[in-house]
Amino acid sequence: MSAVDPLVEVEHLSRHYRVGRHHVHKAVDDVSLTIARGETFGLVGESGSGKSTLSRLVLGLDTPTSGRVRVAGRDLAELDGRELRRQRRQMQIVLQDPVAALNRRKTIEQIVGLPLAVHERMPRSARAERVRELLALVGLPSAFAQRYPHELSGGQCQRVGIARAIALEPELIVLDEAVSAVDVSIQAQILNLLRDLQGRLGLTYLFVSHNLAVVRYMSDVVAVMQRGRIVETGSRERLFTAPEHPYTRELLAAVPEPLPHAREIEGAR
Amino acid sequence: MSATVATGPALETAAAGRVGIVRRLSRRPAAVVSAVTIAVLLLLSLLATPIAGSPTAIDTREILASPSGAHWLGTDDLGRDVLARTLAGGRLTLLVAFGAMAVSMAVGTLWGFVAAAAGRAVGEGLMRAADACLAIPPILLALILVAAFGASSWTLALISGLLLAPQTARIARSALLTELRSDYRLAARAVGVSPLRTVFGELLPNASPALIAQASLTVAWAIGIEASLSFLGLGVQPPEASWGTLLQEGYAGLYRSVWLTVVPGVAIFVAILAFNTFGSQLQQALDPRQEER
Amino acid sequence: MTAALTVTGLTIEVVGRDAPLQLVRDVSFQLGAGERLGLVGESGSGKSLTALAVMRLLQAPVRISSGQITLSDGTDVAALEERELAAIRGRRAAMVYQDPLSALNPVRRVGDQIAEAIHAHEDVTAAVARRRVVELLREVGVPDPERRADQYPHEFSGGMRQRVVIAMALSAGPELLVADEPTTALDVTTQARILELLLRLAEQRGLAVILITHDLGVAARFCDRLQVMYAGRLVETGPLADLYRNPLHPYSEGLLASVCRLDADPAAPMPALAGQPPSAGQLPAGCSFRPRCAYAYERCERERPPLTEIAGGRAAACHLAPERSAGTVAPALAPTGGDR
Repeated sequence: MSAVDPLVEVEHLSRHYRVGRHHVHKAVDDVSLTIARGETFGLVGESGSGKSTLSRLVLGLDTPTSGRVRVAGRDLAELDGRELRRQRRQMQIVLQDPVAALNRRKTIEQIVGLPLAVHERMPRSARAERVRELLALVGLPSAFAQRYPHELSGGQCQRVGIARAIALEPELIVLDEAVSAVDVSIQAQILNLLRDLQGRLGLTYLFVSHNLAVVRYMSDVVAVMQRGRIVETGSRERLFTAPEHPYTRELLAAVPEPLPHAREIEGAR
Repeated sequence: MSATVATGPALETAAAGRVGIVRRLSRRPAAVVSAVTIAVLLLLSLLATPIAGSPTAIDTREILASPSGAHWLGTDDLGRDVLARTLAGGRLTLLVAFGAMAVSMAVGTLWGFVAAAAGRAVGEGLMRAADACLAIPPILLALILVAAFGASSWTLALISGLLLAPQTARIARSALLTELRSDYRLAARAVGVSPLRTVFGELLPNASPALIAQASLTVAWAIGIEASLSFLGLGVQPPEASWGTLLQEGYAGLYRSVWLTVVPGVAIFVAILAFNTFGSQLQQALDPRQEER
Repeated sequence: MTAALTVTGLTIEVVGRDAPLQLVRDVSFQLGAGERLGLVGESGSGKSLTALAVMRLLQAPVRISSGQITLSDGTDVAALEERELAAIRGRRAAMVYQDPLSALNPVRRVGDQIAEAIHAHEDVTAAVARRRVVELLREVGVPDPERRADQYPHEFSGGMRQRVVIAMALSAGPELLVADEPTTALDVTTQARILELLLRLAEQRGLAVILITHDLGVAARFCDRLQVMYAGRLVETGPLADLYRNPLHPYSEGLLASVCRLDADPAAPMPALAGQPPSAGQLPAGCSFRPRCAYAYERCERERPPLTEIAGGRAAACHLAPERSAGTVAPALAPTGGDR
């Protein structure tokens, strides 16, 4: 066995859409990548770069035009609907809009308990107990179990989304712009929570975001996507200190950093 | 600057548009009035005989009597109490209308859901079929069907229900399509929920308010169809009374007593207005963009 | 120097079935001519409502309940009748929105929309208006403006659309520009270019700008002065560099610390503010920030600290602000408390 223990292997993956009669939109175009077990793989790009489509392909929520995705050694294309649903124990997603991702007519207990109800034959009381454990794990009081999504703030809803994602103790969690729609002070809380959970549960993350600073903070390996292709991949240190591709450099230069003025002034003194 | 002024961004108030549907309805006077009217109509129809006595009892001393203490709304040409007959007629009319609604909702919802969930070609085909059905005036089609299958309360309910099903199918399809595109549906898929369970366990509760509104509108239309057909003699057959047959009986004696047409006419008018108003109020209350105005 | 805008005691409320709920409370500030002011805060802080109030664009049931909004010539915008506002909007003060697409009419050519904005305030011929439209589009960096003026909004990219909206806002030569999250919906690279454009326009035209943003990085690139809002009130104001280097209000400090920066240490946890902002109906007694504050002590519960001038154009609504300004205060709790 090689040094890395791959959990996700993506080979020459493409997803093309027909637009009109003659045009083909290549949302994802010949992408290959490997995500090692236990690491965080950052995927950064602007809107329309295909990063969201790629994340759905990795989860088998969309069907590729060509290429293959293997998760834990199993080729997703070879699974039938039933096997794929069983495979979902291993891989979960947290979406961008924390409120929309929750069914507005279900209680938090029903929402977090849904994966348990689907995959585990568990008596109701045991499920309720497990939901409370999960809520505690993501830092929510157990009284929230009986509430509805609209009674919670955006940050709390995102914690519920995370609790649902870890309910089955999956190996892989795709975080699709998971902190992009929440406020700054809440974003820092969620980032800490995600890292804490990763350490405790040995999770592997595919961290998708347009925010370079957040991707850098979270990821071990980072890939930069542009127009459906990965233009550069590298370890965090290498990619952010010595970016090779011009697009990566352009992205880095555009990041609005707080304090540049302050730093300049500090430097002048 | 006019173009930029026209579209104010959403407010920051977190609570906006998230209040329960019952509370939102209770803030709309028209919704409250129509709901109360519907409740009164249902109650009166249920308690028709205890309230007004038998609809078939004949009082030979009082033929075509004007309203009085004994007969609040007068009597008809056989000396039967008009109030008793109107209430009993309402019971039958509403029974037929609710039957039609049930048929329409069952058939239409299935139709619309299949169209929404099926592939593009099948979905489009089903909806074009619905459009084609909607292009034919329902009364005309109802006339043909009743002529072919005979008239009874049950066939009437079945036929009106089927006629109103395409309308329901359209509503059901668009309601389900909205939910199919939602994030929480994607989340349910990602969790591994089976398609059937997703539709019935996750999506249906969210689509149901729109369907309930449609059901109320369907009742209103069905009352109209029943009344029309019965008036033409193709609906409920005497001696059974419905609002449509009462209207027809009254029409025959229009020059002798106005009461006999006015009473069922007003009943039909009020019932249709109430169900229609309630349905559209519910639709509006469900649409947060309209709610803001 | 006359101020481009003076806001005094602005209070905004939402009128419902229950008692009116105050969403913005007693906000006062001044904006100098040509000054670039950043209004920052999290969602629900009241920053967007304040901006909309300046333009008198609040929609029922939200309304201004008290306060004055005075322009440089002494006009009180808050007291004007609706029909009098047409002369102010666009001509004296203009607005740029977060979503440029919804600010444009999708079925009309962009050139015609800008021309309409010109005609609204000036009696000029169509040919003159057309020439001005092309000039404006060139000024905001739309390439090939003659041709682009005849295109529809959907033919423009997000960044180009925002340029069109900016051109429209500038069409009647306002002295005050209110920009509500103008770059939030845009990609990073586009965002940087739009910020550069706004900066150049503000300098060339001597515009006073209020930039509403939740992004402290964007504020740092653009503003001279910053105002931090929390739970409907101004909690701190000061020159950008001072505020960033030594925030006087613990909320400003926490907010700045929780921004994930490109030089953040990946090995350390993010310094996060504990808890979450209170809702407008359930403000705690005393200082609204107290439950989340690492420095809080018993006085904070008894007494709400007013916004008090400290020094050098700096003000903060914190009992400890003078000491914090002198750098002689330590938090009662660990400043990066829990992560909840």
